[in-house]
Amino acid sequence: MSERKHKISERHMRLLRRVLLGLIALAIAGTVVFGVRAAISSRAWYNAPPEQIEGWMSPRYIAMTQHVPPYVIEDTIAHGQDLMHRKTTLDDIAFAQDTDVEALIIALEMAIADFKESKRD
Amino acid sequence: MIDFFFGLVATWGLIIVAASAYFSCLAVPVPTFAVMLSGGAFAAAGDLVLWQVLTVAYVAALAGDQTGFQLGRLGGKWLDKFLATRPSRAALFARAQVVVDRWGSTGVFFSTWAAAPLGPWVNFAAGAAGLSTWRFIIWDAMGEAIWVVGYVMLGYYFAANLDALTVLVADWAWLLTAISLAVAASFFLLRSKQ
Repeated sequence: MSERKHKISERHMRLLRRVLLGLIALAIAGTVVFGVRAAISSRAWYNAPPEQIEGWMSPRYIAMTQHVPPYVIEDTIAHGQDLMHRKTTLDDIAFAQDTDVEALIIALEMAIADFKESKRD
Repeated sequence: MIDFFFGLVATWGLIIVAASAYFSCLAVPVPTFAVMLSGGAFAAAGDLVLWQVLTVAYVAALAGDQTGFQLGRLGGKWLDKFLATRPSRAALFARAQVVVDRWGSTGVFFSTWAAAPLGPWVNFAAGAAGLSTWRFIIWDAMGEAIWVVGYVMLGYYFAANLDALTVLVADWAWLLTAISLAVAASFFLLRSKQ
């Protein structure tokens, strides 16, 4: 630790207080803005619809979020490959199969709807 | 943008979790909170293993903080030499060292989780102002434990709606940062008037 004298000049003390006041003003503004945003996003979270299937999702993540067994996903998009035990996304699968990710998503949504319908019967 | 990082975690797993936790501690603008949440979510889905996500994120965050602290220490030595010929500013730096010596541990602890966006800057400042290495390690380790476990477990338990969870957690994290900054700045302003 330095052994210099710790007495700060009056000019530096005024500057320090101004900086602290600026930080307080910034923090209060941030509290208001993010308080409103947090309230809105909390409400949105409470009323959030089930997550839509997207290209970044892995097959197992889709099975979990759509509340279906993994084979429902695998039977629709795997075409004989073992996709449920690999780290991969729908985007990667679509690229590997030379198909459009939107087409995969539509096929999955139909398979999931069919499975849920069959469980209802 | 956030979806891009979700995809990276889904494909590269622990490597992205580690890189994100490490570099975010050095002020590289990476949405680490989203990576931690998705690490927990993919663990819930079975793509990753929960204890591995927690361990890798924790170790990488500690390594990142320690790197930032050591960089700050190097900068502090340079600053000390630079200020040797500037007594007025040197007094300001010496006063900052006294403040960091007294309050640095608390600052490091809270900046790792309650005011996480300020964390990298607090690490640099703590190193530059000469906070004891062991005090930094102990308080940083306790703070990072809260941050890593908190975010990863939120992702694990609320995995079914990751997009909405990410927005919610980001807003609350910034709100907590703003409140922490207001409290800390008010405290030091009041002390400066005494």
